[in-house]
Amino acid sequence: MRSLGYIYLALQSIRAHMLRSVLAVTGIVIGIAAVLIVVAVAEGARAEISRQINSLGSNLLLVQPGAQNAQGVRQQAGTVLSLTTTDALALAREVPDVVIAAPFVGGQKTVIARDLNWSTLVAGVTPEFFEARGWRIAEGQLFNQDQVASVAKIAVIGRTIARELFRGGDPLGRFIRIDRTSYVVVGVLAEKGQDFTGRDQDDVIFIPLSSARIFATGRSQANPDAVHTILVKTDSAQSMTTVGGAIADVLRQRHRIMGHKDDDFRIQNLIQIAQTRDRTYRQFTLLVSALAGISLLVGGIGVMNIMLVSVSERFNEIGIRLAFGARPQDIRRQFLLEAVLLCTIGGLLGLIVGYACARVVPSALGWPIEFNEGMALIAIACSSLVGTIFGLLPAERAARLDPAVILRSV
Amino acid sequence: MTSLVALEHIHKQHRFGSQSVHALSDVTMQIDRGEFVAVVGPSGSGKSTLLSIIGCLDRPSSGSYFLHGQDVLVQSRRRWSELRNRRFGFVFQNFNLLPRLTALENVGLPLFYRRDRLRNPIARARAALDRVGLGSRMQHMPSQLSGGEQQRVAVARAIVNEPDLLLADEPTGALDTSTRDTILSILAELRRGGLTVMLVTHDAEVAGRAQRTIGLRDGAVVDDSKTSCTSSTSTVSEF
Repeated sequence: MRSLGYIYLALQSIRAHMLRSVLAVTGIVIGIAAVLIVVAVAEGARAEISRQINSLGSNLLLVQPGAQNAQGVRQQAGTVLSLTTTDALALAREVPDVVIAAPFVGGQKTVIARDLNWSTLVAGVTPEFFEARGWRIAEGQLFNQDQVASVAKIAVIGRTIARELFRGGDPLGRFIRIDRTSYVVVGVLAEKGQDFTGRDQDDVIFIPLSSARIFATGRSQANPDAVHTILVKTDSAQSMTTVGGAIADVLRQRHRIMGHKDDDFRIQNLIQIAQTRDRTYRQFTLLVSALAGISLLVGGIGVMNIMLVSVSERFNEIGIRLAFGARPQDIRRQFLLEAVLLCTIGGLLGLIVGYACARVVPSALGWPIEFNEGMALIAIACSSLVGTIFGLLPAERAARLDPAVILRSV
Repeated sequence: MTSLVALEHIHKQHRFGSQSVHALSDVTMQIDRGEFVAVVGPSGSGKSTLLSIIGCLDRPSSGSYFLHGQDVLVQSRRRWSELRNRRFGFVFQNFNLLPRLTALENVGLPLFYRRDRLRNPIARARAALDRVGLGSRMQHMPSQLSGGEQQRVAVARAIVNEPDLLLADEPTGALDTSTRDTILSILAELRRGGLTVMLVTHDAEVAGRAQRTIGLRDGAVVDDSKTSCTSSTSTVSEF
C-alpha cells in the first residue's frame, strides 16, 4: 500500500515533466537498445557458428598437401599434389584410431543444365566422404563404391545447385554438363547452410572421385592418383591429437621424408578452427557490448543530471513532506524510486526499440539474430540497476535537505 | 501540570559565511494546552525561527526545549520526524500544498507518513476536509481552488493527525479580509475543540483574536501579555 503510494508519486512526477523525462531517458533507451541489438546479433552469429560446428561433423581432421617451396618462397597449400588415394587407403589401414580416410578432389567449374549455367565447386569423392561429414541425402540416393569404380557419370548436388540450376523443378534424373561431360543427378543433399568461413556448403556438386579426376587434377599430371584433401574421421575427440601425430608419421614414411625435412602435407583440425573462431567472436561481442554499455552509462548520467535538477526544483515539496513527518529515508526512497522507475521505463522503451531494430535491420542484411526472454529480463534489470546507481546521489541530496527551509523560503 | 511547550534560554544563530546573525536570544516561555497564542514583531525579529524551533523543523544553537515535559533536543532525527508528524500541524503563509495532489491527497499527506497503519485513512482525510467546510471539493487540484480554499485545505492537512499544537506562519498573510476571517473563525473553532494554536502574524487584528500575544524584537521576547478578550485558560508567563 505504502510502496504503491511511492510508485504513484513517482509516476505522477515523471508525467508532470513529460518532455524532460523523455529526454532524460533517451540515453537509457539508446543504451538498452544498442546492447540488445549487439547481443541479439552476436547470439545469432554464435548460434550459427555452433550449427556450423555441428554440420562439420565431429572428430574430423583435414589432411592437405603442403605448399610448394620455389626458391625459398612458399606457395599456397595444395600447390604440390603430394597426397594420393593410396595415402588415404594407407591411413585407414595403418592408423588405428582412423575410422574413415576419405580422399577428395575439387575445383571451381562453370556447369550447365539446359539453358542455365552456374559456377560452383565440383568435388570428386567416394561414399566415405558423406559418411565422414555425416551428410544426409534429402532426395534420391548417394553413389556407391561400384559407381565410383565404374567411373559413373552421376552427380549428387547441394540444395543451392538444385535451386540455381533447376529453379525448383525436380533435379533427379536431369543432366548437368561439366566441361564436356554430362552427369545425371541421382541425389540432392539435405540443406546445411554456411560453414565457418561463410561458404555456402550447399553450393556444391559431388561426382565420383574417379570421374572427377579427368578434369580436376588433369590426366597429364605426374601423379594421376593425386587428391586435394584427405578427410580423416577419428573414433573419438580425445584421440585427435595423437591421431594427428600418427598420420604424420605414416605420411612421412610413405613420402620418404627424413629427419628434419619439412612435411609435404599439413593436418588441420576443423572443429578447432571453428572453435577458435567462436572464441574470437565471443571476445569481439564482449567488446562491442561494452561499448554499447557505455551509452547506458552516459544515459545514467543523463538521468542523474535530471534528477539533480528535479531535486533542487522540488526543495519546497521536500520541505513540505519533511514538515508533515516524512523521514529522510522516506524522501530518499521517493527519489530513488523515481530514478529507478524512470530508468526502467527507459529500459522498456529500449527493449521495444531494440527488439524492433534487431528484427528489422539484421534480417534485411541477412544476419541471423537470436532473441530470448532472458535477454529482455537482463535489459530491464540493467536499466533498473543504472537507475539505482545514478539515483543514489540525487536521492541522498534530497534526503539531506534541512526541513527548516520551508519556513525560511517564505 | 506540565506545559505543552517549555522553552528555556533558547538561542539561535544563523550563519551566513563568516557572519552570524542572532535570530533568537535567550527565549524562555511556556505554552499550555488550549492556548491561542499570537507571536508578533517586525520582520527579522525571529518569529519564524521561533516557530520552526517549536515545530521541530530547526534546532536551537543552545537552550532546552521540553514538549510534554520531555526533552526534545536529545531525540533522534527519526523521532523528530515522528514529532512533526503527530504532535504538530503546520500552516504556511503561501499554503504550501503539493500542486500535483488533489485536495484530499494533500490532506492525507501526514497520514501517509504515519508509522502506524490507519484502518481508513481516506475517511479520516475526508473528515478533516469536512471540518474546514471543503467536503465538496475533495478531488479538486490546488490550482482549481481559491486562495482561501487552499488555506482551508492546508488547515485540514495540519489537523488531520490530531496534533497537540497548530503552528501557523502568517496564515492569513496572503489572503483578503473576508477569506482571512473565514480562516480565523476556523482556527477559533478548532481552538474551542481543544487544539492549541500558535500563530505568527503582522496583522494586529489577527493578533487581537488571540488570548495571548508574544512580542518579539531582535530575537528577544519583549512583551508577553494576555489580551483583554481572553476566555478561560490560564496564561503562564515569566514576565
